[in-house]
Amino acid sequence: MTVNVLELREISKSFPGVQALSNVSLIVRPGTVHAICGENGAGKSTLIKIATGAQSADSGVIQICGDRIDHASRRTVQNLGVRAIFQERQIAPDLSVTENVLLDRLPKRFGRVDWKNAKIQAKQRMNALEIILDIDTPVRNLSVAQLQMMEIARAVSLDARLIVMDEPTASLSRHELEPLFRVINKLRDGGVSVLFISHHLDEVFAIADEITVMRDGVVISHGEISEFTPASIAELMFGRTVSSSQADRMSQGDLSKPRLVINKVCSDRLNDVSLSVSAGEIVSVTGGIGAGVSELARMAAGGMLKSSGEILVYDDSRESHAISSRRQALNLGVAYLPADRKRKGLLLERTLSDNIVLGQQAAGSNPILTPRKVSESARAIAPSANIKAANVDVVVGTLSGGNQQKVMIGRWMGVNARIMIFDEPTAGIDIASKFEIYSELRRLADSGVAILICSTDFQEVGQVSDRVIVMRSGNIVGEVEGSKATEGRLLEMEMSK
Amino acid sequence: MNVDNRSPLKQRILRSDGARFMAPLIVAIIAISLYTNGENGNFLGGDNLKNILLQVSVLGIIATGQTLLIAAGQLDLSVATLAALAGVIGATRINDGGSELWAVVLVLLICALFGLLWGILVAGLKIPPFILTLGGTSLFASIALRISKSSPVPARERFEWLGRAKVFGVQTPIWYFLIVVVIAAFVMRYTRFGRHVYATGSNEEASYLTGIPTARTKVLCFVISSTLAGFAGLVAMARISTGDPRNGSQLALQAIAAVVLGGGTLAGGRGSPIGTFIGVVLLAVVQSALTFNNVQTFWNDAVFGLVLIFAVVVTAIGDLRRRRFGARPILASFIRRNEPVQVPSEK
Repeated sequence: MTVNVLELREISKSFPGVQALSNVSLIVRPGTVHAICGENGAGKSTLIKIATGAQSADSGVIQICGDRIDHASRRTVQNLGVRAIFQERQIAPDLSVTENVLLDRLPKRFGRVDWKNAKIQAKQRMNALEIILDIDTPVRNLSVAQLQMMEIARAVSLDARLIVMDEPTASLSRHELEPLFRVINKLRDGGVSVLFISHHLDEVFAIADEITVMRDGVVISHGEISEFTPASIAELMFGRTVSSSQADRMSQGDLSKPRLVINKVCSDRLNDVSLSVSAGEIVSVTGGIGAGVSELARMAAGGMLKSSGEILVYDDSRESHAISSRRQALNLGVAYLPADRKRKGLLLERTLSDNIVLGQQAAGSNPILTPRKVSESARAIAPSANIKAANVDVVVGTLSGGNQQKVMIGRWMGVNARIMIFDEPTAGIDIASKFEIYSELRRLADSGVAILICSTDFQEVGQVSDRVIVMRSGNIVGEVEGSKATEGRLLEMEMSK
Repeated sequence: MNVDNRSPLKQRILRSDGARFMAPLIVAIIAISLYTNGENGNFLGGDNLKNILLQVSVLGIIATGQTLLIAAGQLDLSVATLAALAGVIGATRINDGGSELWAVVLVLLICALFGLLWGILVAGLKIPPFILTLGGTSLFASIALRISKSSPVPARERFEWLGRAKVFGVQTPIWYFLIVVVIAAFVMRYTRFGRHVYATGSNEEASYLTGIPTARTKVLCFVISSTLAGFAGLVAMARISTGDPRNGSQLALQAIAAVVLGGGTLAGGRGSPIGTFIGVVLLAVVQSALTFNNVQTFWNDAVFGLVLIFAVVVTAIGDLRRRRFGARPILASFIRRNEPVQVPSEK
């Protein structure tokens, strides 16, 4: 009988007010890919933090390759062959690929770094996994997908028996998945196990051998992947059937009233992009990573320079104003909701109320503000944006992704934004909250807001938009009505030509 | 969940950042004062309190300007030598036969321009303010020495009205300090600009993308801080009737220390003029208490350093505990082991 690579028995962990894990058990067999699925907050991250020694469990047993670990630390767990790749990249951006791959064990000769040997070793590692990277470039220049490959190459040393990957696909586009899966298959063929955290079921079915489904800190089900279907797993994850039908389309927008017109805009990432969004309409721009949709969102909001073309905003009296700066766009009622809410959208350590009123504080012109009025307006906006929080004084960083996005929406409701530009509106938001955001978007559109969504999620844009515009490497390659924008159709449009 | 039975006002005060940082400082100030007064009854007697404030009024004005910068996530090390330069220029103008008022206006203008320059370099070229103002420190020190030909410039008695007069029996520098603090506190709390400062310091990118004029906000902070430093330099010169090019070389670090004591963090987004005021007073009381208790002067810096280190360590522990275990008093977090775990009954 082979020894299990990782065995967790009856692990429990609590934080004040929350039982994060209760009596969770998990077995990873050698040479298998084991997926853990669950909603945000199901306890996946806590579980792998405990398995990799980053956090300690309140009770329970951890065994790695048959050895019982009493005081797991990152170091002891690593020495036993368990390596983790977290969502946050762990890199030294100015050092070369070679140095990053061999970060903690550069070969030495006579007390000095043996560069020749180091390069050979780095090359060997990457060849073994068929990863193609220039070993001399500073990793700063690599794409997100390449960085991940680099991190995998670092994690896989001779003694690695288990690689833990926390949401490895979260920041990858569709085309970048395949190389990742190829490397994972390669690892499995070499007898290395992979523990794979994801809430994308199609990926789980593409790669995993076994699956463990978690919900609210307990294991709901586990077994061979062949025993499940995507629908059955979704039901287990959420505890109910999730409808993925299209959000109701009340209006199609008033096409005679364009609000936002982008006219022949060029930049280093965009080439001659033109589109318009009317009041009450939801228009999505989609494409793979590198298509330039994220740049387009930021530029349309005035947050980035363009080299030519114009962005026009029409006010209520149909007069047009060209946008030249973010601040000017704000004063014309243009809201921008960035994909990276934590770093580019929210004041994380400040309160809900501070974050909601930020729009009003930025927009108005009256130099004097009354704190009492400000918090009153936050209190009024929070419920109408459907934010679920104990009160408006909670720190925004403690809210869930879905609620954080609603805080962003609330911020712009407070200034009566007429145009809202979303970059990846549901990035980092679990499936159940996604649908809430979608109906929020529709409600906004029905109230006359013009909405531009820039998203790389084909499924999402098909569900939520009135029109979908497809881009590839900075060019618009097609447009389709929302009701016809199936994933397959969009993919076809993006690939063609 | 716990139900908080305290009155809304009490909750608000207890929850506010201000109270968390200021309460321990006020306790420390009172404790040190009472102890020292027990040893020497003159400590709390009439003139000494005014003396204590007078000693730190120049530092206090500079520290208030620094509060704005630190809240915006910036820093200016050059304020100390800029203040010395301001004093030297002011005294020199008088000796060259100008009017006092003109000298004051000229000095404030020059300092505001240097602030503008720093602001534009930091906001426009994204130069780290630490390095930039470190360079400025040497630059100003050198110019001050050049103008004064390396020796203190006597201003005769011409600036007495500025630095040595009394209003309601209290010396003017103390008034300046108090007025500057009150105005700054109002600006930071009740004006759009003040909120923009905190937003910029909390998350510059997010503030910019929301539409806050982050660059203008940062530039204004530098201008205000430099102008206040120039004013503080004039007051210091007027007090001793001499423009001393070597005066107050430690003021910049002490000012930063006072801001941090009062709840500011160099990461930005925090700090308040009232907190800084209390921080300045604490530094002054400690200094004075050391003198009253006949502690040898070479210990002054050590005590100053220890107070600062102690304050940031306590703050850091508080923050760490708060992040891990939610808001509660520091002491309670240390005995968390015995508490039952609360499981949310519904979700």
